[in-house]
Amino acid sequence: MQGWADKILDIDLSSGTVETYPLDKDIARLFLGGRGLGARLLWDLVGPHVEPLSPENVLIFATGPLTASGAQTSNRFSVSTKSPLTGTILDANSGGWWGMQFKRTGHDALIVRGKADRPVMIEIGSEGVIIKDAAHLWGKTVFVTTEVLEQDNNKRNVLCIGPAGENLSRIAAIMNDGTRSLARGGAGAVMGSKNLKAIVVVGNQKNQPKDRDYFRFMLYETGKLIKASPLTSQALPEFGTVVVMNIINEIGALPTRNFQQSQFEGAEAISGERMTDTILVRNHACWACPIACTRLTRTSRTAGEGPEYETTWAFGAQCGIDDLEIIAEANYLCNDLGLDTISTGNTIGCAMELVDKGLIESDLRFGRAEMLHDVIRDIAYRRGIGDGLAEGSYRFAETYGASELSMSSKKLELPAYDPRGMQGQGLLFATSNRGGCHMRGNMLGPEVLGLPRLVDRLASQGKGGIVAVHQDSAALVDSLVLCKFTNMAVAEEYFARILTAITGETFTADDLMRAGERVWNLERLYNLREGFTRADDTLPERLLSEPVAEGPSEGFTVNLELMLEEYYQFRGWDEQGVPTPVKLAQLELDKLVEGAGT
Amino acid sequence: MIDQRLYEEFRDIGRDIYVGQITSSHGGNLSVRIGDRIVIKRRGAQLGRLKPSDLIETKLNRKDSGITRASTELIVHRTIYQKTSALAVVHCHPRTAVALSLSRDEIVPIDVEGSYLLHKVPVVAAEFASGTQDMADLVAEALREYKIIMLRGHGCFSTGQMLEEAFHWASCLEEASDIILETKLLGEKHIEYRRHSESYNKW
Amino acid sequence: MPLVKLFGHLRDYAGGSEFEIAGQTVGEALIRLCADNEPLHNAIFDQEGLLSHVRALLDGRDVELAQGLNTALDDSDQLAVFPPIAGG
Repeated sequence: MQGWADKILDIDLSSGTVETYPLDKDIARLFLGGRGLGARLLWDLVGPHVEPLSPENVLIFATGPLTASGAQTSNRFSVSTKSPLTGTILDANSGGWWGMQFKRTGHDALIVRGKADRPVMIEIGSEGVIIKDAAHLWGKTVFVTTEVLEQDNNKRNVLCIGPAGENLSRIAAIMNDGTRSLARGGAGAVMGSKNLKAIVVVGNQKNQPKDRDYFRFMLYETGKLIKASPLTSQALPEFGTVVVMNIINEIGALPTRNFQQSQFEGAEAISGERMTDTILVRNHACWACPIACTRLTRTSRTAGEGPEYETTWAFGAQCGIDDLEIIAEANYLCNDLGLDTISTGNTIGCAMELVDKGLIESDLRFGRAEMLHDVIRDIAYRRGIGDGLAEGSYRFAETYGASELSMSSKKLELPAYDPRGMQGQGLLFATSNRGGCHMRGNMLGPEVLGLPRLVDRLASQGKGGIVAVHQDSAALVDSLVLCKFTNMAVAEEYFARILTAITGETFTADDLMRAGERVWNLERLYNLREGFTRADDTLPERLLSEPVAEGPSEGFTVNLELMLEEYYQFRGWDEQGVPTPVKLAQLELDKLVEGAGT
Repeated sequence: MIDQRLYEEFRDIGRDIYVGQITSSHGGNLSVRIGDRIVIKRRGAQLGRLKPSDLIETKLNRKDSGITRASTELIVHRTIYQKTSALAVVHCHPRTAVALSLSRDEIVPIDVEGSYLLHKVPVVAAEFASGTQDMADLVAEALREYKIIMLRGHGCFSTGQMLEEAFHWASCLEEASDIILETKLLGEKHIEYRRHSESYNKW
Repeated sequence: MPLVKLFGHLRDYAGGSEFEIAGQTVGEALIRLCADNEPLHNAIFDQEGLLSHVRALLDGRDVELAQGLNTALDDSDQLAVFPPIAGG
């Protein structure tokens, strides 16, 4: 393989058919791989009439031309589907080893359609593709399943769901390599609805660059940059992502108790510094990654991986809990059960506010750390209040007539930043194609860390362009597929030349940025086709009309309307947020929508 | 309305460009893209002494009254914004780089910082090297692949997410060009110290 | 007196996380904090001022948006200094 494997694997679980066909060259050039390829294929395969948990929905696991090449962080992959939580297009992204191994089986992407009539697993290896019975695994947790299927990093890798996905929780994740997650948006439930328990991959093909010398030169150059940046060479390996807990709290943007306050008195107790001093054992890396941001941790009772910043917030400040060990164990538990930690913690915090306001009779109150693990299990197994929580915060709160207390956008739970204290982040949440999400162009860099340069986080003018460029950049990285932390040190012009070295076809930096923009616009078109409108580019009422009560962000709400207008203009969309014909032609998306009547 | 902070950015970088001797008093220009508008230096304004009234705002995709007072190179800046993802453009006349551009098709830095940051700077040529759509297209097309390019005999165009970034490339180019010139003046045998140095001109 | 709070590995260099330090400006207080502590000084400053990617927040607002190291400091102010960090 030189870049692309030029092969798509297509499995229909209803009929048991297994097919392969070539990857269209134009699609590869325009959408690259990963998230972009997933979006393009999903556009054709899953239309507005399809229910996310029905057999007509598909799962598309996709790698990119860089995957398994040995370029730094070339281990990542994505899954694309229609989300059972949001109803929007969904892609989720994960690291570890599975994506690299899947690429080594000689495929760019795997499409899974239909539904098996009983629990099955898929094995992809040198004997070909086998669909096997998985009744003995159904009901088993992620760690047990992974062990039973004999995961062996770098040679044989396991992707699976846990009880949460089997029980169709809308916030269920798909896990790979035991502790890596395709977390947001409920892809785990889609996999569960297909009776698909696991996919095991064993590959031996190599992704070899066309121009080996140039490729080696490029890796040398990007390696230099990664080593030279204090973020990728010191901050991330030493402290991991939790290190931002204190600075987010210091600026007054740490959502506390379901976004009722924006500073948490227990922030220090759950900070990166505290983690390093107490539960951290050492750091760890995914395949081909020199950054090594993963935390290996141990509590007084058990051990595992993580937690990351978002998780620590979700079970920490969001729930009013300051016990770092309980939080870390909650993370291990979510990994084992196959749950998205952000949605899980955010939803539990939402429930706690409903209890506070007397809308629910329960002991599940803010600060009740001793209840946390049981509630998480109840969500995975749909027991008691867990059954409602498993639907996600919006549907949960809605049943009590309090949907405005769900801190979500397009029903995807918001992560660990109060946008009233970070205006650009608010615009990002409101316009993200998969719902309220920070991974689509995190404004943490410009608005807090000063990367590439500091912008005033409380200013709303001038944010439209920065957010759009960050979104395109993130979409690009998700399509190559690489880790966004590389992008903190390495610019697009390097990615373009690495891609050129591997494939032998010339790609410019601008080609790549344009691809990112194209992917973003296609996702937008998908959601428009599903019936989403400008009205859905919004945030919870609390963030739009309740000013922060105290702290450094006091008095602020999110000035969304102004930012949205500037954003649509920058993107070349009309006032309703619809890409104009000129913009579509520029991105070569016009032919795609011709027949669709959009 | 042009933000005070934005004006200060233009003023400070304009000053650094002039004082750093990479352009003459009224030459060169700077611009940024905000949404669907461009903010650019007024025609005839002194780069090293920009006043708030020296900044013109004009629409990205439509001609409006702003163009009458905007820099003569507006057409190039506009084309760059239309064809690339740049959010800021710097154009200046770094004298050594200009001299080098007269006798080669690419400037390949031999110093550490230059090769690390720029690797290679291509030289493009246009018959009318100022203010025409043809030249604008040529420059914009080249900037899709490189963050800084030379227009033979004229000067450099560089892009970035902000003015400071685009200025950085221009300043780095001139330093790298000066070093090339000085080694030529020294006329001594070059000792290659960089790994993969033969690959820089393939950038 | 103004309170200076340190984070990340700056705490290791300083041997503590909170210090009451006198100073009329942000720069003054920080220089005083780093007196006789070269490792701490080098972790915060370079020849031109604050080391790049080091963030100094005065009551939660980044001083770069004010007057940088010349930003005035009151007795009741809290200054928080962070080394280069990344997150997500």
